[in-house]
Amino acid sequence: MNASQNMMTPSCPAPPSPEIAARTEEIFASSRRSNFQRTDRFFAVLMLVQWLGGIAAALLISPRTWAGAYSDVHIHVRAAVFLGGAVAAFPILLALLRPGEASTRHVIAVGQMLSSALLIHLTGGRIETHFHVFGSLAFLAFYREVSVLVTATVVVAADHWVRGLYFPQSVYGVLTVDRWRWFEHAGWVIFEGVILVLYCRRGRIEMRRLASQQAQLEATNRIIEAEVAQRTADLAAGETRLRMYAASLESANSALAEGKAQLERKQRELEELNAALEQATREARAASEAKSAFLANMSHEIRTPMTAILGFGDLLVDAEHNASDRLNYVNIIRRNGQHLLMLINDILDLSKIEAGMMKVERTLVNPGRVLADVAALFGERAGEKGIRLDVQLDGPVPERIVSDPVRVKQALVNLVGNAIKFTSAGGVTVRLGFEASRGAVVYHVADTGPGIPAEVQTRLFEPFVQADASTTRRFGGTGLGLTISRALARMLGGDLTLESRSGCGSTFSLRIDAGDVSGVPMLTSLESARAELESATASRRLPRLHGRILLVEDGPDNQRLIRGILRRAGAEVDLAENGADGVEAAMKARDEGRPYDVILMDMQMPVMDGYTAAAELRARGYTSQIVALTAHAMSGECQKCIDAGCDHFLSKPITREGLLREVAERLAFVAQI
Amino acid sequence: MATGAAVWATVLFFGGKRIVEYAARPGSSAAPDMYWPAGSRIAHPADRPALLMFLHPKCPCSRASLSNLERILSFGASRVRCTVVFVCPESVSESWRDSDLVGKCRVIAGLSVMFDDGGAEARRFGATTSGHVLMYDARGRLFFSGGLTPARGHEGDSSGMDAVRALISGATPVSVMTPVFGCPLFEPELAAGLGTGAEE
Repeated sequence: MNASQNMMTPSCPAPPSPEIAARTEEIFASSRRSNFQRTDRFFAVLMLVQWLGGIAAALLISPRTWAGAYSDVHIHVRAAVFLGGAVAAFPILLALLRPGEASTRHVIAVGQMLSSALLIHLTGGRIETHFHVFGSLAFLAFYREVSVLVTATVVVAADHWVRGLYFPQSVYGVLTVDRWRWFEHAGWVIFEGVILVLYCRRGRIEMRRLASQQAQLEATNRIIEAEVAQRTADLAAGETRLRMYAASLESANSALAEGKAQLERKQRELEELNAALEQATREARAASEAKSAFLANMSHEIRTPMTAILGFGDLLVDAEHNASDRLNYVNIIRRNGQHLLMLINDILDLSKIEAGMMKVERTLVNPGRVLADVAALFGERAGEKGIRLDVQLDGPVPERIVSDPVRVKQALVNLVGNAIKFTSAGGVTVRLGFEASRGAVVYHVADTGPGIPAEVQTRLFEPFVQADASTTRRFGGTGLGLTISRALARMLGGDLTLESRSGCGSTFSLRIDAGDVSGVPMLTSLESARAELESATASRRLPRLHGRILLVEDGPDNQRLIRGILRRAGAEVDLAENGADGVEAAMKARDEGRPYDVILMDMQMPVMDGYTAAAELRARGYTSQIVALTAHAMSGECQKCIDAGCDHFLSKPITREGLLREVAERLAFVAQI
Repeated sequence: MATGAAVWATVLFFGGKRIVEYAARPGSSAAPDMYWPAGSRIAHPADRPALLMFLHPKCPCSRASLSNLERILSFGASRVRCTVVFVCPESVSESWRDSDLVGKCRVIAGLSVMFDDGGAEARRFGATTSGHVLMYDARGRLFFSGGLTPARGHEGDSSGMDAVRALISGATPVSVMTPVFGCPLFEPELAAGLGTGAEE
């Protein structure tokens, strides 16, 4: 068969599957059963209405029967009530109790046709009422079952046949009729019945077609439901995957956010680091600039007194000057020398502080005596400037505290010295107080000087800083005093603070930790401190020396200076040019039975330095006192000298008082032995 | 089920039999005179046949008789003088003269209506059952006596209708006497005086 033949041949629907066919029959049977039951219920209502209608018709048409003036209830009314009720009762009962049963619908068919007969009778055989028969048949066709129509038709035919036999005039109006006349009446009923049979058949075919469609629809629905279930499962799986993807994305987002936060944090840290670096750079640059300025300042500070020293030294050599001028020149040289010494000491102290090598002692200190000592030290200078210097107690103060008297005095000297230096009128007041709550003594140094601008106060304690560059030129100084003083105060458990307004003077407060002062008597005036100071000053008369001293020094100037001081104090002094000569001289004197009581040993000399010489002497069993003379003021130097074999040491520059007291103590130590 | 059906069928059978028997049972009638009664107040027409129908004003069965009469008159009203005589018992209210049946008669063309209070004319013509029809020729000779319905209260073709139609059209009827189905015109004791018995 070719394609054209295929196109010409009408397509036949594929036979339904056995499953669909079985389901079709099941639905068809169910539909028929439902239709039977539904129609049964319909007829139950219809027959009830018909019964009531028959009663109403009887009451309307023939309520009473008459005989002259006498009347009674018409038999049609009784028939409508009782016979009509009997006709309707049994079918209604079956419709309610046994709906859907074949017997029920056949009884209904019989009852419905008898209802028609009774209604026709009650209405006097009116031709219009006969339409009730055809209407009833049409209603019975609702069952879509031919047998029901057959039953109804048989009832009609039987009614006419029987009445034709026994009461023909009630049906045909005449007493004698053709024996088949009943068939004419029944024929019309059969005619309608045939039509209704065709309707029923079509109805059943339609019901079966609908059942088939429903079965196919159900099958299709099952397929669709299975497909939907599969799709739903796929969607659920897809949704699960999507959720997992979403969770992964959220996790990735979280990681990204965390990474972003870390990056931002790193960026902030970098920015902070950059800022810190910039700040450090600025600070380093500032420090560099400050150090450059400091070096320039130091150069100036050093060159200025050196110029005076050298210049006035030259003038001393000139014989033209008289003794008075020469004495004046010497004082100038001494003052400039002391200034140089102060400068060098400040530099060394700052170096120690910055290197963390500054040490403080913990011993008993009389804060009132420190105050009196400083006042005595600066009293003359204040008087020379025409300003007053007042010292006073600001309440009771412990007579003794535990601190470092040298460093306390050093800090206080700085403050008072500055106050006098920057005050041109008025005066300087130093008040000593005790803050019991902090356990600290406080020296308030107040001046009536120009005051310090606020913008300078914040950096006034930084190294190499003064109020302005012109300060150095006007007042001199290194710019290290306040830095050193604050560092000392903090090392002593206190602090150094400033209160000042430009034009209103300044007040520096030096707090020193007092240590344990329980049970310590309190000072109420400075008189006892001043008395103690005067007593100590009186005891400072230069001692007389009695003993043999070997000075090992390579510098001729120092040889001349030190030998002159010692001889003038009464000592016998021999010289050695270097360490080796010193060792030989010392050993020779010991061997001769005239050992030296003290050897003053310069530590830096040609041929043999002081360290080697001291060690050599100790190595040879030399036991006399050896005092090191060193220009190295660092604390490590002291220990180095001790380690080499020295008993003590003196730092250069050497003052007459310091030298004589040290040598006197060594000689006294020897005498005690 | 079967017992119920049997009981049901039995009840219906006897119930149906009862009403069919009632419908098929004719009323009583006296033998009428063969000529128009001489003492009647009802005038006999000399030019054509006369048809008299005696009716009880409230008889529901007589609607069928009147309907059949109307059907007859619909094709031959001019050939016969038709009079409906309503027989009213004595001492009844005037409303009897305005019953539905009287009203229906008044609207039928070619029909004369008269009232026979006390039933003297009915008795004179020998009519005892509502729906009784008497037909006389132009000379006053009785042609037909009987009812026009096939059963009590039932419309439709009947032997009486066929006979009256034939007489009006000049043909020979199959029967000239038919049973009358309707209510008695008189109460039983009165009817008994006429030698008839009323049903119901």
